[in-house]
Amino acid sequence: MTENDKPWARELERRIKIYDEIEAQDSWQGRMTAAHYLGLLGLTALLVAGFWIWGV
Amino acid sequence: MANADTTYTGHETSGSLEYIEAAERGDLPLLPRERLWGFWEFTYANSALAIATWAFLIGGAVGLFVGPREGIAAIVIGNIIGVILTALPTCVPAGKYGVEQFTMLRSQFGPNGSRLVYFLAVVFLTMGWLAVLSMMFGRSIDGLTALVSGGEAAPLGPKVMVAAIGAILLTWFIVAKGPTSIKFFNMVISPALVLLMGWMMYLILSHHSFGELMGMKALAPPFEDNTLNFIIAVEVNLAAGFSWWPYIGNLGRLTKNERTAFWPNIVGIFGAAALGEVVGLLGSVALGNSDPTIWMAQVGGVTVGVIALGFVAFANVTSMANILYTSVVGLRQIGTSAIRGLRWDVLLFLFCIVPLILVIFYPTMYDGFFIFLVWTSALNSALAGIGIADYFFLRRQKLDLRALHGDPATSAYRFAGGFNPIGIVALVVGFVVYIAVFNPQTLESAPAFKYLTASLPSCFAAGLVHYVLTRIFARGRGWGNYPRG
Repeated sequence: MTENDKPWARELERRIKIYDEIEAQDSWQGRMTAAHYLGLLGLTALLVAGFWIWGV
Repeated sequence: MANADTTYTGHETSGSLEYIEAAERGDLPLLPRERLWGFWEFTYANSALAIATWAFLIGGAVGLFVGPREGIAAIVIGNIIGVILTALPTCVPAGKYGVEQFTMLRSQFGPNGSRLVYFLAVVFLTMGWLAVLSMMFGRSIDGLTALVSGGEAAPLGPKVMVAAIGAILLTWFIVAKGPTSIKFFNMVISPALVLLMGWMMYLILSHHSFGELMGMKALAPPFEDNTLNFIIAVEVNLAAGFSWWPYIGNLGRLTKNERTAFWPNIVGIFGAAALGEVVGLLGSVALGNSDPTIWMAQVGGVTVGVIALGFVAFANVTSMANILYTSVVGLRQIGTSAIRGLRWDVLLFLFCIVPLILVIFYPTMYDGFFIFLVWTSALNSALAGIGIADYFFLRRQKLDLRALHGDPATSAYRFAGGFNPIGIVALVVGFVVYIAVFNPQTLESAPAFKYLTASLPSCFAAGLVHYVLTRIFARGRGWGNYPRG
């Protein structure tokens, strides 16, 4: 690693540590939960079935 | 802790500003507080991307296979499935870690494999779309001059070719000037395209009732079997949904979290693209031609035709500028030092050479553009399947940021020589499954196509192969830092 690369490596490490901290404390904000994935599945099934019945 | 990145000092010295800019470019992960977009900002941004002239083209192509009623159903079904399967492996991790999409892809394909995928998925797709949209520009100008002079449009004539070449060179010039000029066009063109769609819908509905429209027949159904024609229409829309794969991850990383990275795609990309396609479908079937540059010239007389075609011509340049800029920025990110060493305008021009060749030697590509679109789905659907298997099932939604951003020579995501052979094999399997089920060139299909489409088996097969081979081989060789147990 050259002298020029060191500040860059420090900045990268600082950013990664912030994410490590979020991970360690499990404090992800706005996470997609099981309820979101179930809602997504329901919405997809509704649209696909509804438009299939209407259109075909 | 309310927000873990509170350790960020906020002292924006020239050094930290430099790093924030580097993070925005994709060289570093963006921190949650540096990300700009909430739900509505991202919804507007991806609606602006989705409301583009290609929506009229795709809607027109759907009208070739099925009538408006089945067409609307195919547009909704194909797009919702395609957009969701594309947004899950791209936007969810991007919203969590703020990592650039092709940097994140190193966890699936290795650093060199990620470059290969970029060339296959982004470069070819963008070059194809640049050619198609420039031809649409040329045909709009040709249609417009024919309307004014009272003559006949000549879609394969020299005027179209010259105008299409001019559109590519104009796009090159705009993008070479930098992103500011593109932003200006976006702010004006996207809302104006919504107005144009509303206006076209009003003109169509003023000539035909909704019931009449729903009873109309397809323009040129290729098979007697209506179910097969319908599934091809669904496949075209699945391809349209999957075609966002190269672009939306890097938009999602600018949002604040996973939810704001994911849900706006359902409103923006799905909703806006479906709206544009429905207008294209109704216009093409009601006026008897799948080419929007033809039916727009007929829908409301000379004045309306001239305004609509003139506007569509320049809206195409905006769309072209957007995809050219995004692709070449990405190319510099993942490219070798030789590519990064090229001047910005030179690199842009080199990127435009293939579209120029297509315009000159393959002008009929425009009329069969959906064939090109469906070919891209053979790759994009497999990439989506691999991404879902890798991120959600193998890595359990955890990425190693040090491995993604560290030295590729020593990274835990180096795999074998910078390539993950398992990911590459899975991609090939997905592609082969697609072609075995449905040939986009000839529209010939296996019996399973009528029940499964081609994109969904391709997506599933690629994901399954990636999952199984990784479980069997990657752990023993220590490839890819996959979690144990």
